[in-house]
Amino acid sequence: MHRGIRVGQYIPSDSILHNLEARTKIIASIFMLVFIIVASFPYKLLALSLPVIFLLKISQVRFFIYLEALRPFALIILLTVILQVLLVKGTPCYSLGIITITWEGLILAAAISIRLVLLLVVIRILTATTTPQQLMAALEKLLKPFTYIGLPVQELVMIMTISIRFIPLFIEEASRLSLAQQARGIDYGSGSIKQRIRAISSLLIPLLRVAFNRASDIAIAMETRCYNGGLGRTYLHNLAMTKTDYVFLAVLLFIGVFVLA
Amino acid sequence: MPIKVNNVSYAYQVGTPYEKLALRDVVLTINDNSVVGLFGITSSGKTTLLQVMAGLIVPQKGQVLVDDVKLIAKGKRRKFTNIGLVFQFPETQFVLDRVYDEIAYGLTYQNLDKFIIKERVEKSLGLVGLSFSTYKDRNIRTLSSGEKRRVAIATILALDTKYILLDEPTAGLDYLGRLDLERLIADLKANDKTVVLVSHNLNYLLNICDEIYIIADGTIDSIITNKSSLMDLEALYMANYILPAYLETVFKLRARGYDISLNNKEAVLEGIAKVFRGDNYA
Repeated sequence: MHRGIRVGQYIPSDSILHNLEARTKIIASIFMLVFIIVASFPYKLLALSLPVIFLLKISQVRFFIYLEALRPFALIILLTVILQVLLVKGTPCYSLGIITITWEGLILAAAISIRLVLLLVVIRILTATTTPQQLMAALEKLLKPFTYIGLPVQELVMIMTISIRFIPLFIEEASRLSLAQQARGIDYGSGSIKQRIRAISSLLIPLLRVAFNRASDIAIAMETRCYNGGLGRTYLHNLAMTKTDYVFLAVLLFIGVFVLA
Repeated sequence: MPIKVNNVSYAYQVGTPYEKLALRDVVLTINDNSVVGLFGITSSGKTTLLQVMAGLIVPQKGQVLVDDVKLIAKGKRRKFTNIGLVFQFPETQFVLDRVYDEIAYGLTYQNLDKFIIKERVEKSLGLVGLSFSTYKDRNIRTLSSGEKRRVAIATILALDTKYILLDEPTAGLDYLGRLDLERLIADLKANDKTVVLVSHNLNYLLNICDEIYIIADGTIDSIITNKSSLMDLEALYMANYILPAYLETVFKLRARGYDISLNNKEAVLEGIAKVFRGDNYA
């Protein structure tokens, strides 16, 4: 449990991206994710990395925060690269005993790892520049048409909002519990597998208890404030897209289509 | 061989807009077999200091030594095995249902003989004022808040560490619970333990501590000891700290011009009587 910036945490600033409307950022992110997934390697994918780097630059969020976001996925990316390099058959470029590395394997490994990194960075730009509340409000607006087919959008968004709101609190709680259990002699780092599993349960059991208690408290608090679902609910801050939002979306769409064409 | 905190600084979320300096160049020494209080308002850095002293978090600057063992040596963090820390609301950290199992839980990681574990559980329950035979098989969920707090403290006492750190141990306790805790701390001192406790209740700390470190903005602002003068305490009063009623009375009388020392009970009573009678100031 590190005590630095949390994965997905909003980073306050006054950049162009921060000031864009949340719906714009969600739509732009979806565009970028689709572009990155369908772009061929190497030229089109590398060309797409330029607007991503540009967005990263104008977000005014420090570079190490993006690196922190990649860290939890480093092992997955590394494993994917190793598997591609070792298992893909084709023109050999290096051999050592039974292991043969092929050019095709190397190219596929590079393509997958660059694609994964770009996807993760785009998602992190979105979460770093948009507060969870803005994200949820935007999602509610974007999903509103589905209410006509009976989807309880407001309730679903409320569930997501509460979940997102409490993620940092649970991370903090888990961090505090971990320290508290270490202080009473529980060792997470050594011992047999059985002891380690027991040590993790010393974290999970109290954490689950806290989670259930908190959920019960929230339910009571919502009822005492007369929450009765989303019917007829108004908003404190209404979302409104401006000319800058439309221009930003148009430019991004143009770049994406231009690169992929 | 005491706990030494040398020039320790610690900040949360370094390098981000959320960066918060919690400790700033803190220097303090906790002497053996003493009861030391850390006092300050909320967010003054008391809990962080306690966690640094226990070696649970590593300061970005400075060093912590416990019995001359350095927390950071050759760039690596060491574990202090002779410090136990009771977190705030420790009853939320329970893992098991039975009182005996819960107290023994941490001890099982030390590969101790089951007879020693039983001995430790019995002794720690006795120290917190709970009878071993009555409580060992009780389900923790059925205990009262005060009993849960005692069991939680017993889980740390069972580790038999030389230093015991308590973070806001009086939080959520009623008057009798606080008195029990006061007795427990006196017992621990009598058993050659060193106790450090964090509180924002200066009144409580003045009753039980040999030394009180006043922490403000992440650093040691002043120290109150048994030998502190009335002027030292008066400085706290002037800085708007809430002091015990009897001290506040003395300082209010002194502010009205009465020449009163703490030990002169007659002068205090005379002063109060004069204020009530509306007499002119002395």
